[in-house]
Amino acid sequence: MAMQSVNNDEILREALLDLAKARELEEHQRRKTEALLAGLRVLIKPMESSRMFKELLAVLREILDFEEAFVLIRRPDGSLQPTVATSDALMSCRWRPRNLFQRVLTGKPATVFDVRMIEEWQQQPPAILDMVSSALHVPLREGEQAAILVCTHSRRSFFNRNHQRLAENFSTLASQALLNAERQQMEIQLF
Amino acid sequence: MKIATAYSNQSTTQTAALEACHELRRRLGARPDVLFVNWSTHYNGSRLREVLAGEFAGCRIQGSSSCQGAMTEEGVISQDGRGLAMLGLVDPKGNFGTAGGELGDTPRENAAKIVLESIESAGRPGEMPDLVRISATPGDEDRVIAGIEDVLGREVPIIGGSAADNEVQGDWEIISQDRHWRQGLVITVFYPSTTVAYSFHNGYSPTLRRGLVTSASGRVIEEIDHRPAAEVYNEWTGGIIEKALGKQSQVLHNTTLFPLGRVVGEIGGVPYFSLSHPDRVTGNAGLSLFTDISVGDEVILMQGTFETLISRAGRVAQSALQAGRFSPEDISGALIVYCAGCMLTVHDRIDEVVNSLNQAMDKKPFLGAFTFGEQGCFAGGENRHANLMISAIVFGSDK
Repeated sequence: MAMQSVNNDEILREALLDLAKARELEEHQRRKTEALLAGLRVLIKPMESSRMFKELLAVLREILDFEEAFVLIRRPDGSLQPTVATSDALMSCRWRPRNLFQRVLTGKPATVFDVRMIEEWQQQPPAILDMVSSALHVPLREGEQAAILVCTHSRRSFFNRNHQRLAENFSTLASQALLNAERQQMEIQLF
Repeated sequence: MKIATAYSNQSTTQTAALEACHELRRRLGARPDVLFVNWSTHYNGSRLREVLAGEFAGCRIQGSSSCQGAMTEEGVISQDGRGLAMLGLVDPKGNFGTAGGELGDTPRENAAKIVLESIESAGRPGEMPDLVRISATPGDEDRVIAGIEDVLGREVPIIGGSAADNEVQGDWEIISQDRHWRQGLVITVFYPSTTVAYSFHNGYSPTLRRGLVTSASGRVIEEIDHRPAAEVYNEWTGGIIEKALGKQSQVLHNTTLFPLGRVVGEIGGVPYFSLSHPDRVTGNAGLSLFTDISVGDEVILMQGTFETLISRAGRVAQSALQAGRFSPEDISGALIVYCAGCMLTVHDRIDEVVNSLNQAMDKKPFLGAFTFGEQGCFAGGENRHANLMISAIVFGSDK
């Protein structure tokens, strides 16, 4: 009888933990959905592209907790150049893809716990390395005009695989923002 | 990703290793990218490593001795306390790195060094792995976890099991592809091409008996509520270590169903516990454990049964599947850690543990070690070393 009671208690305890975890997951999913909606609202509002990016990055910052972020576009010479950034210092950086960025450009995201161990980051000025310790790299599109979203934090080992999964979920928004910006640019040039 | 297991009970290290290697190669159809192996200390770990490294040149190897053998989906691999089993993983689109070393007098710092070496070995310097698997010899597991978290932060899952022997005599061993150690740590970091999920549980419930550790040193509780710990524990349990009091005896087998718990965290107001297994009464009527303990810790007497220890393994596997949102047909295989103390307690019914795992995972290949300490990531994300725990790492078939 006592043994059965212990067994039941263990099963009940486990069921309670499962329910509590399910509730946490539901709350997490709800926050994610709300952020997705906020991002979509930004995309459908008519506005100038740099402002649109800034607002979108603000939405992403709420969900990913990064400190800074920028979007890199591949140039004809193979280098990567920022098209939008949350800080002016990051806008002036230039990037030569090596192992990590080459892999991201093939569509595989990468979470870096210490940017000083990464060749592409080692090439950046000391002022950048002073403000960035960890980074999330998310491919936005592949091909000749490949693009990467990079989110950064000054704390080492800040980003984990949950951040990476979330960033992948939201990368479609950023890709669409990029397309919208490029379309706007083309329209300006035509007219 | 493809996973297969193999085993042997042959009497010599060489013949057992070769038999298992040949069978693994046949089942995998390829050289594994990474090999996990567990063996009873009847076999010689150093010789075993040489054979494995020779048979699978270029393969990452992580292995540890295990109490009385191991288990796979084919059953318990233990003939008169002798057995060897291995799991090979092929994942050409993934990356894996294994490194090892001694812990010496600075286990935290050395663990940090070894995890960086394993990441380098995977060819992914600076990148956060999906999972870190550790095989340590008993004694420094808390500091090992701290060292790894110093490098990777607290949110990387760390799962593993401490090396074991058959008689708690200190005969345990660990190996990597490069070396063999009697004291140290081997780490494998995973950057798989598929999703990996995990779970870390115990099958015990709290009782109303609890007290404060008022004197402790290392892994010995000297006093609970200012009274000799062994006497307090004996009262709480209705006398299960009565015969050991005053004799400095081993009490490992007596205490398996009544470990001491400490609250790690809560989810929705429901606490979850890390466990400590009393193994010996000391000269001053203290209790020595297989975990570190500190003054100020509140300890709670926990209670388990044979049934919970048996059925828990399958539930841990199911929990890992749920965490990864897998059905059994979605997985390639699994790595299981099952406390040696639990194994010795359920001994004659250990086949039922294998059955519960096979039921949960639909007989997918798995390797299970019987360990003298378990490390894992609790429900709230805390990485801890504990006793009498069960863990499961499951690998998806594709991402």
